[in-house]
Amino acid sequence: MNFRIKKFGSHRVEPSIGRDHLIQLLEEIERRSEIELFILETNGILFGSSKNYVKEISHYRKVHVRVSLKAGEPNAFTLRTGAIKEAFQLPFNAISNLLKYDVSFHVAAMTDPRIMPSEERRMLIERLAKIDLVVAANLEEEVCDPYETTIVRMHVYGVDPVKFFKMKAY
Amino acid sequence: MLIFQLAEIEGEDANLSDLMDRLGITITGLSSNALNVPPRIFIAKLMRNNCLKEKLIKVAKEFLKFKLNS
Repeated sequence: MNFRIKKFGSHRVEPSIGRDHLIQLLEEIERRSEIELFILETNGILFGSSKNYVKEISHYRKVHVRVSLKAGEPNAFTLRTGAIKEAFQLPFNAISNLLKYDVSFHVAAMTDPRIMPSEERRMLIERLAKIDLVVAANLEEEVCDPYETTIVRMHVYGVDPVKFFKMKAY
Repeated sequence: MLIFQLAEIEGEDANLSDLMDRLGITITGLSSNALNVPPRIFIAKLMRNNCLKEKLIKVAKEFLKFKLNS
């Protein structure tokens, strides 16, 4: 069968959690000549905590990593993710590791002004610029979309999704 | 600077060639390899080219001023 798929990616999952499985997938992608590009989306937690993991990823030339940042400061990071404040730095460490091991990547962040105050957005961009100016300039800024799981989580956290999505992002 | 602006319009899904066709613009001197990837991935490729890095940093500085004021 020939599906004529040239590029694909992992979206709204965290593939780095299953390290062995991810490596097997990358091996398979390398073997398949018809696939030219795999976009690996990650929150950067594990790539920030293990340089060796990033080094391993760097062996695969078809992979492009998209690091998705959740916040521009530790308190907002904890509020939005439920993770401890100390983990805030890890995605930024992931960016440094990706640069160090010459992996193709860019950074995305949910800078939707309905979620992230403008001062926090500025802090996030400036923090990125301290690591690398081009990475900061290439930041993909996202707006919040009404995915089913997003609506459910909003409801759980006491945010009215109808009111939220009636507000204009920009 | 144009490549950063293109990435703001559509960074990841459409290839650079499709995007330029859609917008009716031309960038000369790009290889087919470059045209076959989305703009953000193209920028990531440029970043890893040591010969171009210095020029890219200059443009990035300018673009960041615009980004921070938008």
